[in-house]
Amino acid sequence: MRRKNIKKTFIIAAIIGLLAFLYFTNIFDFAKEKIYQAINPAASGLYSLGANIRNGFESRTDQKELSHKVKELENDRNALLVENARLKELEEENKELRSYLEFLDEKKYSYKMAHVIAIGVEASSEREEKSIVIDKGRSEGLYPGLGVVDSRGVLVGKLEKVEEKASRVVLTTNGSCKLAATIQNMERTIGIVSGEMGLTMSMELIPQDEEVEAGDLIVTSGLEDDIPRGLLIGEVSRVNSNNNEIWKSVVIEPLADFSDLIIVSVIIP
Amino acid sequence: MWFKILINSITIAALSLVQISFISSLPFPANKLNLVLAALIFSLSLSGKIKNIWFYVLAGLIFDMFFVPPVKIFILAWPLTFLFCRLLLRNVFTNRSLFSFLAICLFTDIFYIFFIKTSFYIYGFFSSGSRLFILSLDFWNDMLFRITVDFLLVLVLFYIFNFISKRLKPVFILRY
Repeated sequence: MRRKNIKKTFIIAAIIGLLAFLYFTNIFDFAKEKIYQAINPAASGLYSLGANIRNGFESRTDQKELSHKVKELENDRNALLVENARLKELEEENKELRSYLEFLDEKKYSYKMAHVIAIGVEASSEREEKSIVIDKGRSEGLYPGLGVVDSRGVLVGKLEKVEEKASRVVLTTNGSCKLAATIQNMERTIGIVSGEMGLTMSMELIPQDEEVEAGDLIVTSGLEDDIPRGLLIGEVSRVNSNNNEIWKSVVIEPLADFSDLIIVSVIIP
Repeated sequence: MWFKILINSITIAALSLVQISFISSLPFPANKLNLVLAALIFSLSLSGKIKNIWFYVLAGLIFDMFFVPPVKIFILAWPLTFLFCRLLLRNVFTNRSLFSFLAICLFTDIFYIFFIKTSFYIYGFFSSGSRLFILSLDFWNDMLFRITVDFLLVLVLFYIFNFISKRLKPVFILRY
């Protein structure tokens, strides 16, 4: 009886091993596409439901705090309107100068919109859960390294792994996400932005003589082939500087709202 | 028989999908629930048939497809967790008492988490070098929350089953 059970277990283990081998060698890809097509809509619906529950649970209802926040936002808005007007003038001037000098048109890129269908990887801890899964993949022309932005055009991460109809996006605060970036200061300091502890980002190896202040914006530098220049990443929240050292570093606060990601766009250069 | 297999397959697929898409998007600590693990424990305890392993191969396939993990490990993780739980039920614990269910939940959860974490660590070690997860306080914190939430789930399900069926004993098995 025992020998029969052992034999049975062995046969089942062998079959599972064979199936796993066939699975890893992508022989079942023809069936995967059908499964994705059938299940992706349900997955994005379930994710939206869970995200709405999470947002409802986390939203604050304190009247006083809200009105203070509204006042702050109104002031920011007024300042931004002024800045926007100035930038529009600069944009017009830029266009005219480009046409005088007969520069090539700025590189155009296209977007692919996608629904978020899952957060994190099973068994990952809170800090490691800094990745999302979207319902677009190789069949839509995506490949690892492409940038992903939210509805406001702020960079939220980049594609790490791409399957036929699903892709994993590693968020900017994830330690494994590295981005070529520029600080919008006088010197246009360039460097690599890395995620820190799933909460913030940092840029190291900034020369001491370069002026960086809290509030400076960080954008993509365009030095990566697959991520265009000028995408907003975050803003400097703290400068770590010591006169005895050659380099300084900055802590960067992401400007994307990771808790509200339901639809994102993948930029295809 | 085929109808039963179809219903069970759809149930496991639906549970996996709920786990991947809905549970993962819930606020902390609800996002630490493991519905598929609870289903595994109860299905083994109530039926004990080894051929149910195929449903967990299906669950693993769906997890691999929709979590897009760094390495496709769930197709092995779930069947192995099933076999481990079956081993516990046949050789160590009874399938009648609450304490037994909670103990099975504890050991199965630990086995599942360690298997996945070890696989990701080995993959990460060879590709980019990664920190050993057992040295991280974050990992132990997270494990504690997962086990606690799964305990609560198993407790609730146990009492529901006990209300419906007389096969399970609430707390202790009395020897006469």
